[in-house]
Amino acid sequence: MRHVIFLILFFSGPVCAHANAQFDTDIRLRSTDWLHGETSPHSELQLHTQGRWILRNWELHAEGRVRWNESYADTQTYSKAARKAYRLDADWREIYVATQRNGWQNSLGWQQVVWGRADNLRILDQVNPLDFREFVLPELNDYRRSVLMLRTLGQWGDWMVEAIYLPGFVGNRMAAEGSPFFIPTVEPLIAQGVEIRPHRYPKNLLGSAEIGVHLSRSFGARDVSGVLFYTRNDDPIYRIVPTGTSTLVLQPDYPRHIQMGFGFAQPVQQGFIFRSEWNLIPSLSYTSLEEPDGVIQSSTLRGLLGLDYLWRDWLVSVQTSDRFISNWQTGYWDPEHQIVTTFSATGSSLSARLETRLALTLMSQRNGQWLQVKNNFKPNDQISLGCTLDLLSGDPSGFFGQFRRQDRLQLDIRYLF
Amino acid sequence: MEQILLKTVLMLGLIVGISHPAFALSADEILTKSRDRFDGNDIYADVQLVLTDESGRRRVRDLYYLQKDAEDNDKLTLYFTGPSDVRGVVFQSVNYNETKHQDDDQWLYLPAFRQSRRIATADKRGAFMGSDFSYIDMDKLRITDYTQVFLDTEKVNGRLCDRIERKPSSEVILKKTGYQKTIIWVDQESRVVLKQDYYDITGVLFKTMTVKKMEKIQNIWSVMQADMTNFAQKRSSSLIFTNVQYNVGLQDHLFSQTIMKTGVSRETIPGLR
Repeated sequence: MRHVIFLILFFSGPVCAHANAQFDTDIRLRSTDWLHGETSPHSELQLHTQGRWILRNWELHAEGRVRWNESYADTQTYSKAARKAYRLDADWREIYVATQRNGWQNSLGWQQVVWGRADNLRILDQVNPLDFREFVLPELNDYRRSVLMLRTLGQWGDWMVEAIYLPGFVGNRMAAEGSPFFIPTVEPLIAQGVEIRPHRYPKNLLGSAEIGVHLSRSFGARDVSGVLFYTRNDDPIYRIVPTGTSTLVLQPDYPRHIQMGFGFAQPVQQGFIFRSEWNLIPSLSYTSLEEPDGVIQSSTLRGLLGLDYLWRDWLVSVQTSDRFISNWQTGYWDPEHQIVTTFSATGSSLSARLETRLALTLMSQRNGQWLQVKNNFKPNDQISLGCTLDLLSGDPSGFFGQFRRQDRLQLDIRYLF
Repeated sequence: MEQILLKTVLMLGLIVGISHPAFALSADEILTKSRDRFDGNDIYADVQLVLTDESGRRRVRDLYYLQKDAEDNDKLTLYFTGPSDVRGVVFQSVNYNETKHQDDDQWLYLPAFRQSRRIATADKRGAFMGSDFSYIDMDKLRITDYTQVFLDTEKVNGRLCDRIERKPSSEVILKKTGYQKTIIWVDQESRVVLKQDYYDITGVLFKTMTVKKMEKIQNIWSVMQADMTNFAQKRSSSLIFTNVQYNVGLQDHLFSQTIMKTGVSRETIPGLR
């Protein structure tokens, strides 16, 4: 049904386009060459369309995409789950109705909200869950999942205020089993005879709701922001279910917690911008099978320090982030620290027809490394030619190292209608 | 009256009556009068940024231009409406009075990332949206950053102008602008800058801005088209203004970070005709 809606949107757009409407559609053909030759090349066709219709103070915003990858028709290579997830997929990137009054915008629908200013990392940007079907290799904006929410955004004095209410909880979506970026989490336990029960999502409106507020303003040359978010773990933790038998039974669960965040950015000497973000979760649940019920709460602090430097048309950034878990013990499924350092340079040349991004991301744990080189050339306003190289390395059990055999070169051509 | 971004280039302004001959004024005084001329409390305009490459191929970027004067600064919002690859991009800046000796504040919102980022202002040599106008060209006219000398008078587009040579007053400004010097032509009647030559760090003339069209709107002299010709790259860029409106009563929230996320639509700007 969603596919039909997209097609209607696609073909109706140009007809509907008038003074109070904006409509954009693009079609992209992307080929993926897996550099180690262990996976057959992929070809994906993507139709992406978005429209904005404005009537007085009302606005309807709709953005969706359909992705078709016939490579996943191969029943010999891909599992049923992978074929279902990747062969034909459609999602709304956003679809909402908004109204503006006295400088405040209220919107209802499936939306994406970004808090924080980190470079392709999420410290304060915790509202929308993610879809890891291509791991973390695409732009963050491309794998953020829109969620149903009521949102209000406006100015309160000098403060920008953004408040959200999410009536239904949605967690992260992992890559389908049998797909190139599948991450086995509990599968090794299942192989050892552990029983994993079906995921249990909060059902009722009160239990599943999330609520948050984001405040930001500038004090002179310093931008500050604060975040309060009453939410749930986006990834499951696993509780031990008492059964009275020798079989270990685990129940995936998404417990509640409160996040309190703070961020700031300010110019420093020699044209650098210093930025920092901190997110404190006083009681975050972790899986630890050494605990009687398999779950333990610890206060957790995530922090990020970054420096940006603008040189002509290039933005050069370095940032590092870490996680601190209080009273961490070896039984935790999550490591005590998660140091991630990124060096990046993003810029344009040839009158902004060529956009380039070079990024090296390092994880101190298990020597993980990810190098991304991305070029996008636009000979005119309709055609875009892209080339992206992703190289992953590190310990095979590490975050990046687990996909060290999935290095890839992607070439794409995009036509904007 | 404070200056606006683009003012150096565009000089959307009205001359405050200059009754005495130009040669009686020093270069600093001429430029100060140009900087301080009356141009309304706020401005709205539809702008086309036309980029023409060395082969003559044109690309057009459409944007809304909103500027408002405050007590000790002026604020600017540029909202790009097309083509689709730049739609939703927002550039905001706050320019402080020169007497405050405070650097500008600048932010850029990229819809592809749904993030606004503060931009350093120590290097303004970057191309404004890929055009031949650099960010410093779009900046407001500053007097104390330069030492300036009156050269002579010369006609541009049939209008008598004061010709002034400007050189950065420090290495910091030289690094920020990338210009060893500029020659500026200021219309004696309107005090609008009608032409400017830019010399690179080696002293070679590499680009020239010329005002192609100027009109009086609401009794304020307004530049309707400014062209920048880049001799080194054999390219040019034009800023074409239409629907210019002064004293619209633009609300403060149009210059807040909120507008970066919500976007700007003409339907929601009260007072716009």
